[in-house]
Amino acid sequence: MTTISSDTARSPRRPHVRHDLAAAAVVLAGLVLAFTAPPDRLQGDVQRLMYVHVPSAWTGYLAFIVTAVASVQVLRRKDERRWDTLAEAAAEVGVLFTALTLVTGSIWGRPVWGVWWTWDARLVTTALLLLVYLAYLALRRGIDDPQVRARRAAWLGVVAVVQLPIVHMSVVWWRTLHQPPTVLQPDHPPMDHTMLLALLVNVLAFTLVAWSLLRRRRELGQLQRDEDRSTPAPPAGRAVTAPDLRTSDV
Amino acid sequence: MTRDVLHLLRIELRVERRTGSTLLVLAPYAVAAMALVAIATGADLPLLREVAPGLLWAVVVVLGVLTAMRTGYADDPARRDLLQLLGVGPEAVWIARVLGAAVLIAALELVLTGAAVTLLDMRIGDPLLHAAAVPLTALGLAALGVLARDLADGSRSGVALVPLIVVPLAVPLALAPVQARALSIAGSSGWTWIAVAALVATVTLGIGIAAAANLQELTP
Repeated sequence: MTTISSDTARSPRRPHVRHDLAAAAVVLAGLVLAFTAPPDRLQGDVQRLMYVHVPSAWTGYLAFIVTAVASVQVLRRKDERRWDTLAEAAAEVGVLFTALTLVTGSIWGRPVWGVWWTWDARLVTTALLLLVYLAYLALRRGIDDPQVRARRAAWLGVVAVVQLPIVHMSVVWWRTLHQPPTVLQPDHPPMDHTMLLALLVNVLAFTLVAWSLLRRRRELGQLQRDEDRSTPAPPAGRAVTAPDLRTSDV
Repeated sequence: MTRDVLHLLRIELRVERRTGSTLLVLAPYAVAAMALVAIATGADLPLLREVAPGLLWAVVVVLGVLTAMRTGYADDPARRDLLQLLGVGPEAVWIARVLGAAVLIAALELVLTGAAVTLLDMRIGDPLLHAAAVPLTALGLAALGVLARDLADGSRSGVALVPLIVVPLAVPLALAPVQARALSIAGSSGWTWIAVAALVATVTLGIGIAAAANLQELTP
């Protein structure tokens, strides 16, 4: 009996543990590669921030795409709870990594550009992207009814994702200080192979970490919903409350 | 549907003519905000002349949101139910609300353009570009504002939430006329930027029309 119950309790956790261990291993490999890769000829060691900045930007993009896809599913299906939980979890993960992108970019910008912030198209569009998703999360927090919240947030999730191509293409459409796409260039990237390997491993590490966070946040959301469902609804109106005759003058 | 939209639009504009909430309250407030920025930056005319276009469109976006947030004829739940019983589709109601807000925002833009020309000595550049920018930005901003208002309706942080949703998404609408004007003054064509404003307005209108029925169902 004990064995069965402990197995039942542990079985859903096992893939998580395996996944977390895999993520930790790749993060470790990413760290090692980031510190052993050669420094940039002009920027020196400051350039190593790229191994956090670029992967966090990529992860933020990916999370917002997941939010948009889940939002479309919420609008298409009748049972929207599963997709709504995923959309919410992905938006939170996306906000976290986009904020990290802005912070690391700012720390890098100070020694290289001489300022914490500059009015560059990529920076501004990324900041706006973050603001819209903060509004998305604020909208979710402000609505109590789960169905209304899911549907309204889904529409905003669909509108907000329009910004992603603008952020990505901003370095092409405007003259910017921020460098244009390097890794995604059609011909081979103009980057040392060791640096490229470190970058790609870190991109994978961040994606796995984001995936872990997403799964845990989604589970938390599901537990929250189960809790809400098990809590009895308050009586409909004050009219059903019995009058307290002890304090009444009647 | 067109007849329903025009009828509702007439009612929206009649309500505005009676209350004057945009042209008699919001427009003077917008001019005051513009003057306040001018005084706060040191009333330096060459500097103000340079920042005037950006200031004009920033004020339009910030206060245009307030215009889109105002309570219109079809915002009353009882009237909305009545319209539904009469067979007026939610899309028609939504388009009428957007058009009503767009007309008022366009009027606000014209008042503010006059204020920017007189108070800040702003050069308009190509008047045709400006004439195209006014309705397109008004339409885009109205669509964004009404959509955001529907999304945030009944939310605990509703009033503060609408500008937070609209302003970051409306940046292309503020940027387009400023860049178009700068290009026209420099001797280039600014119509690409006007096309950007048109694209934003079209996409937002499309999403809003697609969402109208669903959002009306969710409105308490």
